[in-house]
Amino acid sequence: MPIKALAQRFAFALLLALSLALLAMSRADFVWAERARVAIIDVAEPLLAALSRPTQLARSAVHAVEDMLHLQDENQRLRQENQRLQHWQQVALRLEQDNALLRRLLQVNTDPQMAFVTARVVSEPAGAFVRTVLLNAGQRDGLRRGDAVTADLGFVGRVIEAGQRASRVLLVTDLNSRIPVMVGTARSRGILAGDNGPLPRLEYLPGSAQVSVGDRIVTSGDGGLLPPGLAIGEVASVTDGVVRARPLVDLNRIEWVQVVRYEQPQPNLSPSRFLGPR
Amino acid sequence: MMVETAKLWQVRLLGLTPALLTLIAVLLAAVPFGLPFFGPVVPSFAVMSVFYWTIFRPELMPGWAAFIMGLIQDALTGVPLGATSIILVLVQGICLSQRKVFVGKSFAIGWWGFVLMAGAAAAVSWAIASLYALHLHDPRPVVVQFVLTVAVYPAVAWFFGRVEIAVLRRVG
Repeated sequence: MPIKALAQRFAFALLLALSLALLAMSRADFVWAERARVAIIDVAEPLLAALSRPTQLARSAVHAVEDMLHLQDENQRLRQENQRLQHWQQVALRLEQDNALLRRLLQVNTDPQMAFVTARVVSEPAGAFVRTVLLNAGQRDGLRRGDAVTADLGFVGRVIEAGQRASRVLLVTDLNSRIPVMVGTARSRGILAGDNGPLPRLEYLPGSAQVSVGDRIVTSGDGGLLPPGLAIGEVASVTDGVVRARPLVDLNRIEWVQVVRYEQPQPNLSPSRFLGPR
Repeated sequence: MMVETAKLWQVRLLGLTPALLTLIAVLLAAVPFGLPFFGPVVPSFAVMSVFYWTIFRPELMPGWAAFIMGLIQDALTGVPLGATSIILVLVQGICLSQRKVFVGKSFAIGWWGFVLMAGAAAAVSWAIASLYALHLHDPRPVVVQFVLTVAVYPAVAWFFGRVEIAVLRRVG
């Protein structure tokens, strides 16, 4: 049937052209392309949440068995850790008092307004070219594009698409992720740039920066998009001027996250600020 | 008359099975399995589904179905819209024109065809992703994904075969 074959060929060419056009429009950051994506993840979120539930159950069962096997070791480790942490608690309390006192003296008013929203990860950072996850929370839960996302120990990424009930997080390891950071006690500024590998690179460090393996990396808050001081990871290697960082969180195994709602502090420019304490 | 309409609808609904299975395949691409050997890449279930149904039930796997499933997978996995749909449309189009080579042949020949098809799909998706990002992506994840996809295909094809016998026998 030549007409049928012709129609099939026409449909094939049309769909290919349509796909290419969509790619080109996504590349050009058409707003509706993002809206379409967000609409699709909103609709699919309940399905993904339902599908991810049994796999989560299976995982927690495996964890439970593992925990049973290591009960004694774990107990001993926790006792030691508890001892150490009690010491640190005392230190932290003293520092907190000092800090509050000094802030009062200086009339510092830059404490960011932070609020947390807890969300479940409903999609794997799967795929050969991207490192993103979907969350089962969106604008109706107060999330917005650009929010910082943390998982138990540290910063993992930023919200790049926020739907009504679902949103997408760009992980720090993604090729497109660029996070302003500070490194080590010298607080050298740099940019943490993902390359889809497990260890993102530290770029644009000042030439004078002394960076060594094990240095802590935290968000710097430069640009005002992210809250400063969120722990990201530590320096994993320094070879031939290439500095790589190891994230604190295993990004392939995130189950729950906390999204940080951050309001950029407004500078206190009232006249009394400059007159000193009355 | 009534009976005939009801029967027609039953046939139509059952005919959606391949598309629905492809939708499930698309969702599986995004669900967190958390298995140590299963990630960060997962097998391309959608490519398997489009390949299988285009060859054995071409009328139930039209090009636009492959296109829409590709779009959904793009949105769910966070790649640019069109990146997966172009792959699935290509798989559908090429299989449709070559299906006579596979129909009625042994499973090994079908599997061999799938190896070629999945290899081409992996290469094209790598090229598109690299072109899109203007960055040569590390090809290793794609190769791992290709190997996983080819290895899992017999099991998935067996499952589709069971579904075909159980459900689609009643559809034309």
